[in-house]
Amino acid sequence: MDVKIHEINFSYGEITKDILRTLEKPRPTYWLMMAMIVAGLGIGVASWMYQIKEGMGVAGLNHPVGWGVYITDFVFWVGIGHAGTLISAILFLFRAKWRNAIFRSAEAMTIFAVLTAALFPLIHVGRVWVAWWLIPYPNQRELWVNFRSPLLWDVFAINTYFSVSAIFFCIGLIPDVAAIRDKAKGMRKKIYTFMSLGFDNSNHQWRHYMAGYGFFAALATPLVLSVHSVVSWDFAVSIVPGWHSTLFAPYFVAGAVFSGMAMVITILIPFRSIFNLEKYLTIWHFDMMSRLIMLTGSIVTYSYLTEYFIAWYSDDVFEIFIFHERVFGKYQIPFLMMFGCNCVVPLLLWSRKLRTNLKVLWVITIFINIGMWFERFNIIVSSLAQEYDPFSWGWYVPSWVEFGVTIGSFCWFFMWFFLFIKFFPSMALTEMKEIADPPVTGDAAHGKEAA
Amino acid sequence: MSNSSVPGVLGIYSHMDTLIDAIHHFKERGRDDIKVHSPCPHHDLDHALDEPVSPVRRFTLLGGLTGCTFGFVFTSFASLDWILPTSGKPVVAPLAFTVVAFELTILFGSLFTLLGIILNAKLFRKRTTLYDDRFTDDKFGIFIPCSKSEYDAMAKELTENGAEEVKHA
Repeated sequence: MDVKIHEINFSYGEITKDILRTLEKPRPTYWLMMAMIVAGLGIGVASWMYQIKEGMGVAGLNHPVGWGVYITDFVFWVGIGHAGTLISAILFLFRAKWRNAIFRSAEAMTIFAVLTAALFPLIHVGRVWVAWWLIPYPNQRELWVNFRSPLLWDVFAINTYFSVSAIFFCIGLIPDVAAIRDKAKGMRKKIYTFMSLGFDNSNHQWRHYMAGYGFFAALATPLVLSVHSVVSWDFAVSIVPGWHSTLFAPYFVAGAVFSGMAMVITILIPFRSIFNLEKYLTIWHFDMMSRLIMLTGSIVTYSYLTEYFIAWYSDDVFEIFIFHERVFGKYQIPFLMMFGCNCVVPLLLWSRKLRTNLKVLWVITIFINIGMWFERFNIIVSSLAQEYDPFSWGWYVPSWVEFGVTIGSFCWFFMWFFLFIKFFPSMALTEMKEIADPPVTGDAAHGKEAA
Repeated sequence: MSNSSVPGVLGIYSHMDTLIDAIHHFKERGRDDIKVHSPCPHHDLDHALDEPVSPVRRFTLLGGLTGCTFGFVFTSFASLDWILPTSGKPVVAPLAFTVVAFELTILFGSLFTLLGIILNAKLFRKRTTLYDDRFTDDKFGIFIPCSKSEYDAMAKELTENGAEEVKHA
């Protein structure tokens, strides 16, 4: 198939019918998957409960590595949450038509990824019952938080990102929920009537809705770029060798989009097949997403190389040592996983034949997901384990509790996604109609070429 | 369908070109009070309706300015209220507070935009005009407010202008 040409040649009625079909009674496979997810989530919850009961000692964290798998997971999930808003906001402003079929799933993924990421500061602080002290409010202790700390910037960045992404997502859902309402019966109709907020598809509503949607996109665009920049400053503002770099913000943002797009593809390929949505989610869409991965992957590789160049050029013995240790030291395996999965494997995408083969593409995106997790592990752990003073060096190995929580986090993320696809249209009905030709009299070919 | 309180007639259309012709017809007749339903927004409909720019943008601007101001004032106030010297850094550090102010600009801008949509699009309100469930699927509609005595004449006019079905309260 020539991926340059893609025809969306469907009537409005057909689009409604096909997309609402995903909300029908699930097959046994769905329940089986859900059971596995709940079991994995149980492992995560049990691990966390054990840690709360026994204290942080059961995690592998100890001096000098105070940030380990939990912060790796946190940065990983925040990164995964970047693709959704990028697709829904930035590509909306660029009027990229290929976003219409994928943005809803990607946006949902963003919400659930940030929801997952937000768990990790709570898990990491240990005494989770006092985690609310991070929130600045007038209190009986007469204390305020330190607004000069990047950790507090993170509180604002993550909460703002979650709030704005959630509002953007819910606003986008309103017309589609109205469509479900108009097809539903009984109790479902009552629930969706409440959730559609009285939307009636009238010109009065569309006018304000579309204006507001555009402003949401405009507001979310700098937000996407800022969130991972702020996360990167958690590291870059410190003086730890390997962290103290002005490169970190763009490097983290590119890495976030890179990993987020990979996760979108990892999820959408099976989703497309399970719900028989091949005619809406075409090779063309995956080709476009692959190209974004190629772009951001190249930036990531360039950033890795720049880090090494700057370490050498700085003539700073600590910087040079850390980067030498990453390649040849005790944490060589995470480095090789990072470099292999993020720099070498994605090179396969430069072949059109390979990136339009969905099986190959799916495997490549899984490698990227793994590689991006190891990138964060590599940055965090290798720098902390061997800071300035050799007397305080240490060797960090994650404990089973940390692995349990990590498994639980993946299941938590997928649980929300699986619930979402059964209660809401995971492909935007309204926006799919926007790129189809409207019905006209004597209309022989209802639809149009979208590429 | 019958829970409408505004009297009027609803014409249902299957084709957008017919709908646009009908809109032009009623606009030429000076009927600026018509309400048009469509499964999705469309530029051709916007041109035909020629409505003023939505005031939602003012809400966004107001929200952004409020968030930015609040971000700087709040962080400065809190830092002065509980002085926490760290590494010789200034107590009121505008550069550091810019990050918080930026995030609050976006947050308040978004919340105010949401408020702007809710107030202007009149969400959370009970529908008061005739409606058809197919408007979210594949049909278009024009609702024309009129008194009961005008129903027949208005229904005839809608039919003459391409409406395939006509309903009234």
